[in-house]
Amino acid sequence: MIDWRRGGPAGSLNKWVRREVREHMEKNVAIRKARPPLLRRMINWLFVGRSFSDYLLIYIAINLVCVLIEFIAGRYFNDSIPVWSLTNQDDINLKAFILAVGGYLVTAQVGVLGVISIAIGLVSLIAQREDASTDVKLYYHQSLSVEVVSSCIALLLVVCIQLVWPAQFVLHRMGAGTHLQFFKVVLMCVHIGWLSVNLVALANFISTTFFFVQRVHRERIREQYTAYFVIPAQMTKRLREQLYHSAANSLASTSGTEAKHVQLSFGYDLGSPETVEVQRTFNTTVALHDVRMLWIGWVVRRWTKRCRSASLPQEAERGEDQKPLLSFCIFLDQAMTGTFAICKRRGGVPLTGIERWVLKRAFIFQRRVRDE
Amino acid sequence: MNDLPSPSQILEELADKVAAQIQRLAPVSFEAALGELISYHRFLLSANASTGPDGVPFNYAEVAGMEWNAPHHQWNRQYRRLYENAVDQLMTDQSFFRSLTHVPSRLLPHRGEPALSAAVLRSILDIGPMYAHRLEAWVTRHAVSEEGHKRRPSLQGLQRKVYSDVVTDVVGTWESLLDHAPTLFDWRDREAKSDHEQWERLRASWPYLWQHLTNTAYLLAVAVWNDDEIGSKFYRDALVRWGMHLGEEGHSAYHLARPRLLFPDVFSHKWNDALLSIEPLVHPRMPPPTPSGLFKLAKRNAHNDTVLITSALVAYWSMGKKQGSELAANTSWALLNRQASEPDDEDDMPGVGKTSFRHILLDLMRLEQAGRRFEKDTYGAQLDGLVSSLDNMTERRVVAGRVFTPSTLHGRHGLLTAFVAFLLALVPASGDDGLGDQIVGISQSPDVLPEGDLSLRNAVHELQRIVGALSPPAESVQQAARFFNDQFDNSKSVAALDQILNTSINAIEAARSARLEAAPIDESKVERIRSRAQSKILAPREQIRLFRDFKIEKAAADHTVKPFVARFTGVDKAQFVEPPMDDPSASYDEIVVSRIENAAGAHLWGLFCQKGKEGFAIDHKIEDEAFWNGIRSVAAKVGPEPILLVSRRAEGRSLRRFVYAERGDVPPPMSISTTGFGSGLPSYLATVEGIHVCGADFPEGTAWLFSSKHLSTIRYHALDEAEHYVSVAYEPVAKTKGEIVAKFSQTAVWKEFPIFELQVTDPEDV
Repeated sequence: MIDWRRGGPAGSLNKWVRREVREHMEKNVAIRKARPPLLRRMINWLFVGRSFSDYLLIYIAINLVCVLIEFIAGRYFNDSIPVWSLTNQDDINLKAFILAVGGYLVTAQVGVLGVISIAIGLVSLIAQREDASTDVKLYYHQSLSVEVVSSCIALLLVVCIQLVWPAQFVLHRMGAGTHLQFFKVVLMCVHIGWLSVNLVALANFISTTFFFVQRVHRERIREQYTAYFVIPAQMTKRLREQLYHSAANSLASTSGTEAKHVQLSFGYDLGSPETVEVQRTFNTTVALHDVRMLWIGWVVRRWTKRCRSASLPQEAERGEDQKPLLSFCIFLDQAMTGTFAICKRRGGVPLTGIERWVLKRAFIFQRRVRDE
Repeated sequence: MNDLPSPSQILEELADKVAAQIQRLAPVSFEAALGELISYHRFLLSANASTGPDGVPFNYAEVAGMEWNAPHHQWNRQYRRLYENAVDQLMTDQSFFRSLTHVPSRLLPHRGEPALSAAVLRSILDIGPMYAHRLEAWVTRHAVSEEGHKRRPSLQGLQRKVYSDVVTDVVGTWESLLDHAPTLFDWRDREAKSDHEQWERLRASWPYLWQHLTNTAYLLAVAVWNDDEIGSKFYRDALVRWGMHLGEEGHSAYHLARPRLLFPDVFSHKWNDALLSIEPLVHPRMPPPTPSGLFKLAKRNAHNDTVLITSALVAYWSMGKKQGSELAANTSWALLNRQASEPDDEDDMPGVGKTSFRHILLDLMRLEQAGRRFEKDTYGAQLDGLVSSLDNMTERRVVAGRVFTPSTLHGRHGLLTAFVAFLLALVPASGDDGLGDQIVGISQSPDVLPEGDLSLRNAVHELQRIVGALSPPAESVQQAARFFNDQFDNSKSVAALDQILNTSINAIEAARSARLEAAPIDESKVERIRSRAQSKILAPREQIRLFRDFKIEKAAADHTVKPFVARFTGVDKAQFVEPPMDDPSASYDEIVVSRIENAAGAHLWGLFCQKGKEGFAIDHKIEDEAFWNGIRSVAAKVGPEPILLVSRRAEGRSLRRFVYAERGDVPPPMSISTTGFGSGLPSYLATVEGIHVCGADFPEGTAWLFSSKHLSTIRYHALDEAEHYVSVAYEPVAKTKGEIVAKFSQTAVWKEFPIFELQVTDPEDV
């Protein structure tokens, strides 16, 4: 029997599955053994799933914050800005220094990109020769090659553009801001920090590349990938499907002894003749994303009791196919559009208005960009 | 995420690399690639391993979701083509195949690793049959017929030698899987000191052991089906020796008073419940059973069952010409007699050559007691599954997706002819091999049987099936018996077996009859019928016989009314004892209640018949318009909805011909209908001129005219102070037969309408 209370107060299917998967990931010895070291986990946190545009957007946000602070500081707190950031201070031309550092960063990034390109090319050639396409994909994924390249190109683009500091230039042309180089120094530090992170990721990339040709390390990488990317995703998918389709049994058992007098089904369209009890209309493409099982259980219990009190004594002796049926004939994750039935009934008594209202909200739909 | 490789894809690619090394004939690279494949597979199984709320191992790889197969099944499939590749290289290098046969043992978890669920372990053991099929395909491809010989094709020369070497390794590797059981299930864990803990470990291992046992039988069946003489010899040896030294050193099987009646169903219980379930089987003077002793006995019994079923199945193939050569018959007999591959090895094997008629028949009766057909989750269902899976390999080719009738067996009961052949071959020329004493012993103490008297009835049924198969035995049965026993004499053996079986049946039935005679009647069953009958006859209804619109009332006891007694003879006492000693009928109570209800209706009709009637004569035939004109006036007097009850054979037949006569467009002279109010009456013929005509067993020319609403009230008077309106009792007549006696006190109140008795005469007869 499934305790749907593990899915929160509404008995959410997704929450139940997430909790189950999380607990399994924490308890399982093999998965814990496959856990990557701290540095690797930090790199994963910084890079996994991020694209070129993500990096640019993050940087633009930081840059705009700097410009805004410079604007506010120039107008209201001009005296608070450190004077050491004057353009010429103690024989140091800070403006020229910042420009020079920008040039060095460009050079470093171009070099990094060259190394990455050569490494990816070599590994791809070797892997294709061994007809190991999944290994190539695994290598790309675990070395974070796409993310590192994206980050490097984004930094390269940013540094190239910031050679002329366009945002600060506009600010100064508007008569705002300050002539002190403090904010450019801050942004330069961001560039250097970003480059440092890229270099650490590059080190990870290089180590992954070289270790990938060794069986022991390749196995280790494969296990890390499986444990922390594939198993959670696949387990979630299969458990959701399994639980949804077998929910009839668990809800029937939680409905008590009355449950033997009715039938439930989830994810099966048993066809006519049936009465549509609940239906919904969507103009966009949606898919069933989550189900609040405890709410459905509440409706089922009420409906079962009313069916029992309304039925003749001999109806209890009916065969399985003759019992009153509530069919939740909607499939999990299936893209749909237009009007479709959520709940159909065969036999028994009709649902009340409040029951229909609850059922309508027990099935949570999510918009889908495209059919999957 | 969708574009990233799944575990199945990764495994497939790793398997590709192994296959490539086999093609290259590179053993070192092959071992490295295979190690990488197995390492990843083991990781997948471990990473999905978990435990259920009750602490029983569970694996998320068993969850299929909306996929057709669970992931762990998909992973195991990768090895199939590796075996195909390795088998193709057998003549060049056998090391690839040998190494691959170790895959199941290499997939099993090591100490300290998460335990795998029973389903996953069974799936790992199913890799054995997978490589056996590939090996047999190789044998079939390379077997040749010797010129001038009519014998079956067989391997020759170097191929024969290579195959012999390989198959011995295969058997050894397969047998070694059993040695993992003590480690896998912590049998030797010294911390498990209590009987309960030891039992939990032992019973957790049973699904694994059963799968290994049945798969060993499967390996043998595959070899026999493929006419593989060498393989069948070694696999037979493996099956005969199965579990002989299975990690229970120092423990012998526990001695039960009836050891054959211990089934592996006992593993479904915890230790205390298991002890309770076998309590009737324990000899009072024996020390209490130990977990390992009980486990070993149940294991030995299951092994015996598997050997018997497998030998019967291959004999069945031989008898049904499914397997044309003598290999099946030879294997069947050798297996039944527990013959090892080499006679010198038989010294340390228990039970070799000891098969006797008595053993076979008692084992056969044990199989019958193992559980009913079509029941789930019982040992009987597992045995049926074994028969089904072994015979399934002989199924004809069918188009996928079509509905077809299987030509193969789906249970133990299909093996009857093979069992009969065994019994005929082994039946002693004189005496009964001590069977009678055993049968009498069992039949006198049914409490030791799993289902008590029902088990005895099943045993009788099975013995009767065998007797039925002996009259006369099929030609194939005779041939098989002659093959098994040179001295077989059909008429003598059949007569001897028939006599032994009938004596056994009679002994069982005599003991049952004696118990039935002594058993008390279960009054609760009688009371249940009484209560239902009372509810039935007191329930309001629209119609009883030909009367409608009446009331049914309860009334106080009236001693002036003589109660009506209805007797139903020929009732088996077996239905009225607890537990029932006859197969219970789902509708038995309803039948008895219905008969009491009919008796109440008949009694009411009897009261009506006793009422006075006015005479009326009419000289017209019933199909004449004048007849209906003539009775119209009297029909108006009898009250609403008049009924004319006529002779069914005379006037009824004439009226029926008249009503259904072909008239073309000419309308009938009277208004006639066959629907409406009257159509629900018994023996209804038609409604003519508003009078409902029904048939009765009257003499020709006699008819009654009365109202269907003539009855006003039916009263049932209480029979006792407990306000019972119906009494029911079982009265014995013979030892095991009796009568149901139902009693009720019924009176009727009639309305003041006249009843006419018509004398109808044909004017042509006057």
